[in-house]
Amino acid sequence: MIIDDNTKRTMRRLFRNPLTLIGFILILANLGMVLFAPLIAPYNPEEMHLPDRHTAPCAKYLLGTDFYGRDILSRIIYGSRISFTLGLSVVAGGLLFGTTLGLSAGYFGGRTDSFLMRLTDVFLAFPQLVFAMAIMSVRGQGFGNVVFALTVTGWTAFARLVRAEALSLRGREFVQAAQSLGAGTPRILFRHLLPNLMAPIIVQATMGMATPILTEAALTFLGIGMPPNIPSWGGMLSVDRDFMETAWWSITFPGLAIAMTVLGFNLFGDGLRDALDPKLKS
Amino acid sequence: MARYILRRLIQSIGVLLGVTILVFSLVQLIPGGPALMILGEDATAEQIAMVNHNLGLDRPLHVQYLDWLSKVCRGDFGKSFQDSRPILPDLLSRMPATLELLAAAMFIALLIAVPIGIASAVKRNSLLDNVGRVFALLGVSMPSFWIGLLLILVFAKDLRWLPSAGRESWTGVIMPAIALGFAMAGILMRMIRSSLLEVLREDYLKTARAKGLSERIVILKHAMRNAILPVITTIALQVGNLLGGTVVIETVFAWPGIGRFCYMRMLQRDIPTIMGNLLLYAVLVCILNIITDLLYALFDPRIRYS
Repeated sequence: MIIDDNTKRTMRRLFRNPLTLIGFILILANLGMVLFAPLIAPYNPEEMHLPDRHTAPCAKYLLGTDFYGRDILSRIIYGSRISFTLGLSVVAGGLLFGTTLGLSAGYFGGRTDSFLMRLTDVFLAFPQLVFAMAIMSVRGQGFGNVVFALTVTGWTAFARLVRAEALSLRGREFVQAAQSLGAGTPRILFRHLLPNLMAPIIVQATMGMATPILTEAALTFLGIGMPPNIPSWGGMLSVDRDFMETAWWSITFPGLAIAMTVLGFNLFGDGLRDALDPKLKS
Repeated sequence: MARYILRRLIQSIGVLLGVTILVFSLVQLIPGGPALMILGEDATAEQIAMVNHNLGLDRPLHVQYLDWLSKVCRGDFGKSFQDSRPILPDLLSRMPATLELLAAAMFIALLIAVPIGIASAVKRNSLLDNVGRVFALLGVSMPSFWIGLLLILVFAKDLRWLPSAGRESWTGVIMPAIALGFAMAGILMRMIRSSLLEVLREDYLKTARAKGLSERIVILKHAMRNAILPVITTIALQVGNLLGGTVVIETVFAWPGIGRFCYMRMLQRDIPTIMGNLLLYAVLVCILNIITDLLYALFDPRIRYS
C-alpha cells in the first residue's frame, strides 16, 4: 500500500499529541473487547454463580460479581459489543440521512435550504434523551428500536455541519467546472462536493460515537433501552444501583467502562480535528 | 430591536407548529396502534374498533391532528390514560422543581467552567491548562447518572453529609445539580477557553494593555465581552440537553420534577402524558432559545441593528 506524503503528515500530526494517542489506545482496547470477547472473557456473561453473589474483586473474579453472581469483567467485555455496534449503527444512520439532507440544503440553498433547516430546528427543539425515551416507550425495548430512536434524534448534527460546509463550497471553481461539463446534481453532490467534506464528517463521526453510547446507557439504566437479558453497561448499573452501598464495584466498573470508551472517542476525535482540519483547531 | 424580536417570534411559531406535527406522529409509531396497546394482544377486531371510535382515532388523520392542535392551543393537553386527570396541571405543578434543578445545575456548571476556562486560556499550554482540558473531557465523557450514583455512594451513604433523595431541604439539590451540571461544565470550559484564545490575539487588547489597564480588566472586561458570545450560543444549545438530563437525574435522586413524573408515565406507556411532556419540553427549549437570542442581540450591537 502506498501512503502519500499528505497522509503521512496527517498521521504524524495526529499522533504527536499524547492525548490523541491515549484516545486511540482506548478505542483499540474497546475494539479488542468487541472482536475477541469470547476469547478474553473469563466467564460466560450470563452464567450465575449464586453462592458468589456480590463477591468483591478478587483473583477468581477480577472486578467482582453482581447481584446474581455474574462476573462483572465478563459482562463489561460483552457489553462493549452493544455499545460499539450501537454507536456505529447510529452514526451510520445519522451520516446517511444527515449528510444527504445537509448536502441538499447547502447546495440548493434558497427555499430548499430554508425548509430543511427549519426541519432540523424542529428536531432540535426536543431534548434528545427525552425524545428518545418517548420513542422507546412507544416502540418497546430492543437493539433495533434504540438504533431507530437515536438515529431519529441524532442526525441533525451531521445535517447542520454538512450544510454549512456545502454552503461555503458550492460557489467554488471545481463545482462550477462540474456544472459546466454537464454533470447531474447527484454526481455533483456525491462525487464532487462530498469528498471535499470528508475531513469534518470523519471528525463528527468519531466524536458522534460518544452521544449514542451515553444515551443508550441512560435508556437501558432507566429500563427502556436494551432488554435485561442482554449484557449492556447501562443495564449493569441498573441491576445493582440498589446495592451500591454493599457492592461498590458493581456500579463503579461498568460506569468506568462507559466513561473510558466515550473519553477515547472524544480524545481521538479532538486529535483528528486538529490534524485533519487545522482551521477548526480550538 | 422590536423587529428582530418579532422576526424571532414568528420563526419560533413555525418551529412549534413542526413540533406539534412530530409529537402527534408519535401515536403512529405505536406497533398495532393505541387501541391494541390499551387492550392488549388478545383484543378482538370489534373491541379495537370501539376503542378507536371512543378515542376519535377512526377519523381522518388531518382531522385528528387539527382537533388535537386546537385543544393544545387552548391549553388542553388531554387526559392521562392512567388516572384520567388533565395532563397540563400535573406537569405544571412539577415545573418549579425541574426549573430549580436546572438553574442550580447551570450555576454549578458556570461556577466550575468560568474560572478554569479563563485560567486555561490565559495560561495556555501550562500544567493548569492541560489538567483543565482533561477535566473538561472527563466531564463530557462520564454518564451523569453514574456521577449521581457515585455522589450518593460517597456523600450520602458513606459520609452521610447530604440527603440521597428528595427536595425536603435545600441541601437536596446539591448532588443532583453537580451530577447534571458536570458535563455542561466540561463543554462550557472548552468553549470559554477556545473563544477567549481567539479573542486574546486581537489588536484591541494590545491597545487596552498599552493604555496601562491591568491584566484583570483587560481579560474580564475587554476580552470576555467578545468571548462571551459563542459561550452564550453554547449554553443555548446545551440547555435542551440539560433539560433532557433532568429526566434521568430526577429519577436517580427521586427529585419531584417533571422528568421523574414523565419517566413513570413512560414506563406505563401513558401516551397522552408522553405527548404533553414532549410538547412542554419543546416549548421550554424554544422559549430559552428566544431568551438566548435576545441576550445575544443585547451583547452584540451588530445583530441588534442588522
